[in-house]
Amino acid sequence: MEKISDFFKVRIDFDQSHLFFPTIVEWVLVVLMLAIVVTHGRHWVARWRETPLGARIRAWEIDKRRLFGCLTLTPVYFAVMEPVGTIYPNTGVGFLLTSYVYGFALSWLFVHDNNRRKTLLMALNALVTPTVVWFVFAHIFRITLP
Amino acid sequence: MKKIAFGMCLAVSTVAASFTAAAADSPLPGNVRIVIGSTSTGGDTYQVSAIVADALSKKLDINAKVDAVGPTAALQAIAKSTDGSTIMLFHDQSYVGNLYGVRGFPDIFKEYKIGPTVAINPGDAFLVPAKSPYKTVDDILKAAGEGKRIRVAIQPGGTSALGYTALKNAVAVRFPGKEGNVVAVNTGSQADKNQLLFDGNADVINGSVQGNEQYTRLPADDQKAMRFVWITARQQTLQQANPEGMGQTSREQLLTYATPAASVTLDGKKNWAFDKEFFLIYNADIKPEVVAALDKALAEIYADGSIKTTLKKSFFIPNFMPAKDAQGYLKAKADETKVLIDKIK
Amino acid sequence: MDAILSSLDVTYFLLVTLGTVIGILFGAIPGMTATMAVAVCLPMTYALDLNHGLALLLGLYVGGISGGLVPAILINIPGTPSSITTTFDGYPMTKNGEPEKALKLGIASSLFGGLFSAAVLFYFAPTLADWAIKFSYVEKFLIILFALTVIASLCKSLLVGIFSGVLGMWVSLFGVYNMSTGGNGELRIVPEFLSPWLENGFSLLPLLIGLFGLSVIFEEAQKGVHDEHAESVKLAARKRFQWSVFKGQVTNLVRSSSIGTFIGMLPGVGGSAASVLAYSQAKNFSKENDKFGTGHPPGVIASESSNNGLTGGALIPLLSLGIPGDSTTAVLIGAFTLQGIQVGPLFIGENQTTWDVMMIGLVAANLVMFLVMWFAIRHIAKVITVPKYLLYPGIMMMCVVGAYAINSGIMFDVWTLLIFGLFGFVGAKLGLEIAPFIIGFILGPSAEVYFVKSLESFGTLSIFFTKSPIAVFLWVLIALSVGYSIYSHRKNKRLTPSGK
Repeated sequence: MEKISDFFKVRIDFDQSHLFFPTIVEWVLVVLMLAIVVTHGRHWVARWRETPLGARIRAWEIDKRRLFGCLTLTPVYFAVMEPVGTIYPNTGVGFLLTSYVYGFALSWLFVHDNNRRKTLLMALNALVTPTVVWFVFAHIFRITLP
Repeated sequence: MKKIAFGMCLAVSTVAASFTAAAADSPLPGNVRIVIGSTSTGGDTYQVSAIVADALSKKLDINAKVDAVGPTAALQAIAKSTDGSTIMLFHDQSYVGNLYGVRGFPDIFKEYKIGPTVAINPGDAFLVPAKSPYKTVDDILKAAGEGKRIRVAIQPGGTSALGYTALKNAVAVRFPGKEGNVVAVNTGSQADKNQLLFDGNADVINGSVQGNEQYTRLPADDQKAMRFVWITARQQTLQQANPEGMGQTSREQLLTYATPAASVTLDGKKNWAFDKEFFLIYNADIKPEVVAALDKALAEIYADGSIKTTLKKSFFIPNFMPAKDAQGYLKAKADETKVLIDKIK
Repeated sequence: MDAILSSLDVTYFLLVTLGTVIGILFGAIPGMTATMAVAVCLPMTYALDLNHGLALLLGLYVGGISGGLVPAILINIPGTPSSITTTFDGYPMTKNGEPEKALKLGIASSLFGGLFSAAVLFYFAPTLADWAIKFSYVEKFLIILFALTVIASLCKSLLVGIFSGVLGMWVSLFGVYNMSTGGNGELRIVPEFLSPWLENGFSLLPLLIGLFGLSVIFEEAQKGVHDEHAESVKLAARKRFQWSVFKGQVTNLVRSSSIGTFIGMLPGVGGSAASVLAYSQAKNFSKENDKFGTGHPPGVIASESSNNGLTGGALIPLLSLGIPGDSTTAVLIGAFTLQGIQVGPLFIGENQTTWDVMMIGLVAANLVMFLVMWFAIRHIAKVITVPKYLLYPGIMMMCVVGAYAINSGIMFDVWTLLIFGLFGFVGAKLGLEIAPFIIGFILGPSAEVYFVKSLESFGTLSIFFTKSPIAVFLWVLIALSVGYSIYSHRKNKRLTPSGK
């Protein structure tokens, strides 16, 4: 009986306590990963041999223009937002101006069979949405925006 | 297409007009962001900041807005702002964190500029269960001296840890070698501290007059009943509170838990006491005009007096000291505190 | 009585309505939460007296919690963390052409949950608060563990699901061991040079809307953003809402609302756990549990009644212990103290009028929420007819505003959106299960604190079994939950032999 209670005893040094739980979690992750490899590994290898990686990526039918366009526009949008905002600090103008551009650009990128009517709609949307969002949140509710 | 272009021009110009309409005669920008060292919008730092921001907005005709971003982000934010568009409001934690060697707390006296002090929260308190054998803080110190283990629930590395350090120091002074009997139970929120007391996993907890006063008025047989043993604020600070005190506990009653009535000695002669003071922190290179303008505005606000009533209503003690005086005063306070912390390390 | 009546003027009810409407707006915008709505409107209450201020704030609270169901159901992005489980069945219902039905179902369940919890608050607050303090670190850890077992019943593949959940927990531990929850403030997992950004790890909300919002947009971009072919959602021809969907769901409603109220009552456990638990219990108790996740109405009922059940629950410790039950009620404390009112164990007795006025406000807010949303539904549901090339830029901007505002203006939170947008996009392709990942992420920090603090206090693992009868009872629940999930996984495997 003594021994069992000793077995459960744990002493945690406060100075090192930040590592205690992460270490447990990491070990569990490793064990689970091994378990997954053991149970599904053979299946993966088989699939790998059947269809090479390149073929499988092609099977996803990536719309390169839209996907990579979106993946480029978004980080740029995030990156310029704050610098633009320093023109008039704490007014949310960085968000407002960059969103006009980003909003229109993203619509332009995503739209199919563009025509005059759609362009008009996109421009209107790119103008109105950020302005309304900015007015309501930065102005009425005084939420800090970049 | 033309319509849109026209609309866009119109929108941009109105927007631009609204930005430039800042107070023309003030060196401060029209929109001031006050970042605070706490992430809570329900805590004392937010309250003081909201009161000060409100007063400044009216006085200077600007938009002052409080953002609860936490210490690290707040210091990062003011590090970018020399024009006074972003300033910080926080309390002694800003340097106490550094003294305890907590991550994310640089030496603010070196890397930033200290602004004016605005208020004190005199509510930092230590409590025991109503049924505790320890009636006073003296009982606690003596018990530790007699070899009893005293578990004190605190939040590590902050102003609440200072009280714990001071208790330990007092034991060391009165009963040398026995200070190891005072041990910290490191925990977080007030809820966690109270819970430790209810569970019997702590003998003493750190709390506050505001948050725990009602617990001290519960019938003694209630599991939740507590008793104040020590309020860490200085006597002269507590004396400035409204005579009604807090809840049903009058100022006179509260004073019986503070020095000199409740004695936690610093060196055998002098009692230790600590005021949690709120003050502004600026970018190190902030424009001197901005500092002067804020000092002047706050001086007028405090002279006018209505802010004092507001602060006292929420159990804060108004305490305005212009930037220049505050710098020296807080540096001296930090140096004193450093001695205590280093001794007990 | 006169004092109560004098507070209940027209302004009072107008403020409740205003608060509820603004709250719904905040809740409905991905990335905006009830907490934010209350925090943002707090300064507005300085000008009001306490009772009127509370009217506004309670409206915001109830509205904010309820509004989250709208984007969850219509565009598969939970408006607030507590509506994650609403997406599981709500969005499939939209895809099946029943958005209006799903919304109405959610709203009616919300009303039930809200009123249920208000009643519990009114009649049992002090008693329940005394019971809630019997839950120490040990019991709270077991509740978190219980909530984590949900992963087992939600995932498609047991092993991968659990892996995803543990991965979520691991990611939640990034940054410092938070001192404000009792940690030692030391950095772990994250390398030192990243600490200016990851000092406090990733924030939940940006991570959530990144995983749900941005990754969906990326996914659509990859497929080419075809409106025409993508799920041709037609608003079902004006079919009258059939109340009969609630037939046989009374147990579900009561159970889910009780779970919500109970979780709300425990300080620190966090609101998102409530809907997650309620959803999985609804699934486990159901005879048709394989229908969950395919647009099964009881799923929406469980999720929405529990997250509104939270509201009254979270007010219990606030008003009878002075301790907030969740992050929104933590902000409410500020409203009380700014008015010079202390909340604590004696609050109800000493402020009878305020207490009564609050109860009326809470009930009124729930009713207003129901009426406003019920009649606005038809218009709200039209969101899904907006073409994607117009809708997505708007969603993106809202996500940015929400992410930037969640910690009052931190740019890294916006980058978190992108990081987890990509993570979700790529992760889904690699077979990672997103729902378990998020549940792990949400519960990770509490699991750590309660586990480590329990051991610090008691120094032995056996305490988790011997602490109290409550602990033993929780172990029974955990065992049942795990056992049942494994059983139903086996059963499903047998029904579909390929396992896929």
